[in-house]
Amino acid sequence: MTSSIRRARPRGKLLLAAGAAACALVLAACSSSGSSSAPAASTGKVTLSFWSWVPGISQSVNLWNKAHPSIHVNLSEVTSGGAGTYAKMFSALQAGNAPDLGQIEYATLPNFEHVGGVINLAPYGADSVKNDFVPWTWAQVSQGSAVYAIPQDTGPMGLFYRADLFKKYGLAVPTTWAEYLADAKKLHAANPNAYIAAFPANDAQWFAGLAWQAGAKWFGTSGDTWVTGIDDSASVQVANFWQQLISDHLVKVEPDFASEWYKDLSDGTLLTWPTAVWGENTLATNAASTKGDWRVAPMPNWGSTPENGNWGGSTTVVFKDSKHPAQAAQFAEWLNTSAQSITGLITKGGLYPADLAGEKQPAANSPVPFYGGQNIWQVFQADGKLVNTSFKWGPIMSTTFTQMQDGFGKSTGGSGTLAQVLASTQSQTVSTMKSQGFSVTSG
Amino acid sequence: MGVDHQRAAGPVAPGNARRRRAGGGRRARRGGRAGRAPAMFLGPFAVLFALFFLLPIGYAIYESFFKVHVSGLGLGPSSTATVFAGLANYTQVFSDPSFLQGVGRVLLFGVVQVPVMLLFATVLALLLDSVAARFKRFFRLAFFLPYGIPGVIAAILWSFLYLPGLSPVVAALHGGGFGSVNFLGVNSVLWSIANIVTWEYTGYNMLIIYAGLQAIPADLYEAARLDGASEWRVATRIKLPLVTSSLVLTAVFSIIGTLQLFAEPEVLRSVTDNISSSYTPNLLAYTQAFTNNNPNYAAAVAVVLAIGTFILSFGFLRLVQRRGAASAGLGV
Repeated sequence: MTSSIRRARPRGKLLLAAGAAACALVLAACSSSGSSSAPAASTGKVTLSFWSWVPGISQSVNLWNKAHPSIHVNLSEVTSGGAGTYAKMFSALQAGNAPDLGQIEYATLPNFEHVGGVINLAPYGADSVKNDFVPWTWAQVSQGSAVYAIPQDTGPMGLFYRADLFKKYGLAVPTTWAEYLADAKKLHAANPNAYIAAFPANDAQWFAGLAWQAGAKWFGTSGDTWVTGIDDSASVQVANFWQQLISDHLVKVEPDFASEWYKDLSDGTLLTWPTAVWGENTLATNAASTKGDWRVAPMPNWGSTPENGNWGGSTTVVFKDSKHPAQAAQFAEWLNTSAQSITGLITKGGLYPADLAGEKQPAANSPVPFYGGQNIWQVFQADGKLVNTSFKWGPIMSTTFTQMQDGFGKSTGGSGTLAQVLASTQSQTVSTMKSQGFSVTSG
Repeated sequence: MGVDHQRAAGPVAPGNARRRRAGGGRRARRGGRAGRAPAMFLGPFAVLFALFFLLPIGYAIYESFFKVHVSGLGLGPSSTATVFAGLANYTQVFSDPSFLQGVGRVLLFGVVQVPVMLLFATVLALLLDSVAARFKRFFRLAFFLPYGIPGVIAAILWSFLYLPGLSPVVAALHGGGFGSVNFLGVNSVLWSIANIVTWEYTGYNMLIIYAGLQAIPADLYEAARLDGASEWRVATRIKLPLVTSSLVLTAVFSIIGTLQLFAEPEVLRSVTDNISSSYTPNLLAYTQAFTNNNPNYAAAVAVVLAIGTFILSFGFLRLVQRRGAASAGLGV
């Protein structure tokens, strides 16, 4: 669930160092609170532990516990995955005391699959809920016939833009990236201190969403071998596009989810933000003074057939240490398909559900005052259907993202182009995978 | 421990007792009870030291000899195994460009920042110690105050003074005709970090040096003044030579702190793209352990860094001691 990460991020990231250092010191203590399952045979009552960082998910858990007296779920509200929970999960798995259930983002799921940390849910009837979900999400949680997680929420992308300033500068809402570039030039000519957008070199996941839209295939499998193509033609096309915007000073290079970036979104320095559905809350919270000024349009496209990418979203997994995988799978399916549960996740957690029926719920399908009463959800509902289903994440995504971000930072600092960074990230990722023993080729 | 025994044993002056103890002859003859007492006093320390210092270090060294080996796609429980790696992680550390660049960066940082900070600390300590100083208690506290602020908080505070759109400093420099100064640029960010570290630790080092100055007997100053020495000569000829040991101590602490630079760059990473995930060796170890889920390699980086720190700080101590001995004409 990326929406809460994003929202928690400004503060979370600053305190990350302290928190992670503290966690490193008490790692043993951090990971010792794992599975507290009672033996099923003795009492007939099963207790499951569940780690999640979705705000207000306790409401759904309480609903379950009321309706299922024999399967009690114990929720631990943890910090978001990247801020320490993944590290905690990995070490708990190593120690053999991971919780029964946990929240994992799509991009990190293959990493947990490859350490053998998550249970295949297909034997527990996971396939019966397959058609409840947006198709691309099911492609991401399954490998062949195995199903490693139940999708929870998604982040289809759209273009947030300042309608008032578009009018002021006489810009048309772009439907293609070529029009986006034209708008960028026109804007910069009219006001050299305003930019069409920011380029966040610190955020490889944002770039991944854009590459995904262009039809990139970063990872795939061929038999028993990973095929890696981070510098494929679609990704290079996206890199070259943003490189031109950077070189011509048409975008402002700055980290996203940082105080300066929030200020720029509030004071009209930045006119658009191509981002995921959960960005609506980021804007409403951090650029509150611009209420009524923003609107959402479908993402600009590369060609005549519209396609889309996704940024963020989570799944629910059952960890290998669970003594009650059947009951845990049952809960994971209920959590993400039951209408009651999803209502809570939307209203309290701010999630955009992966469940198709959930997308139709009024909570995720009504006009939003911050966006001048626009029903922005309809844009994302349509965009979500266009998300390319063949995009797959690799097994060491966090390493790949780190390598790409370090490269982007150097590139925007003046050495090399974004396309060169893709090439170096590709070769670094392949060599890291090879050194760990993976069977991998460049695609 | 031995002093009381010796005092009780006969009319030996304390000074003599100390000298004898240093000789060590007497303690050996008194076995029995004296052997148990040190063990009891050392016990709590030794247990905690072993539990929270030796054991984790031993575990890190142990971990650094293993690696995770994956086969095929690496999917499923049986395709991933932890295997003995020998020195593979260590050879990787020494051929890892990001590690070597990080080491080069902290060394450059240390060569510039440590002398500057110690110079400030010494000047402040001498000013506080001079006869003309007023409000000593206030200034001592004021200089020391930044040290009381946690490094992470200090870095957050300073980040607001560095950010172009928010900083009054940047705005003032711009208004003053200095153009747009970028404190977070590719080349400037290292020195912006150095500024934070200097701000944080100058007061702390000053206090150590000041304590050294306080320990100098006042009659030395009286003698110097009777001989007509100025405050400047008293400072350079008496005070500075006599606080050399404090200066050495602060230098060693600073060298260790520099090699372990972590909190400030980690915090500033969220406001600038110019600090990579391997900017300092400690940051590299952290990224490998907690972002890339590669604790074995992180352990190897940490061990290499620890040994490097050990060599540098003890090398510095040896160097200074040899010089000190040579200049005193003892020639060890």
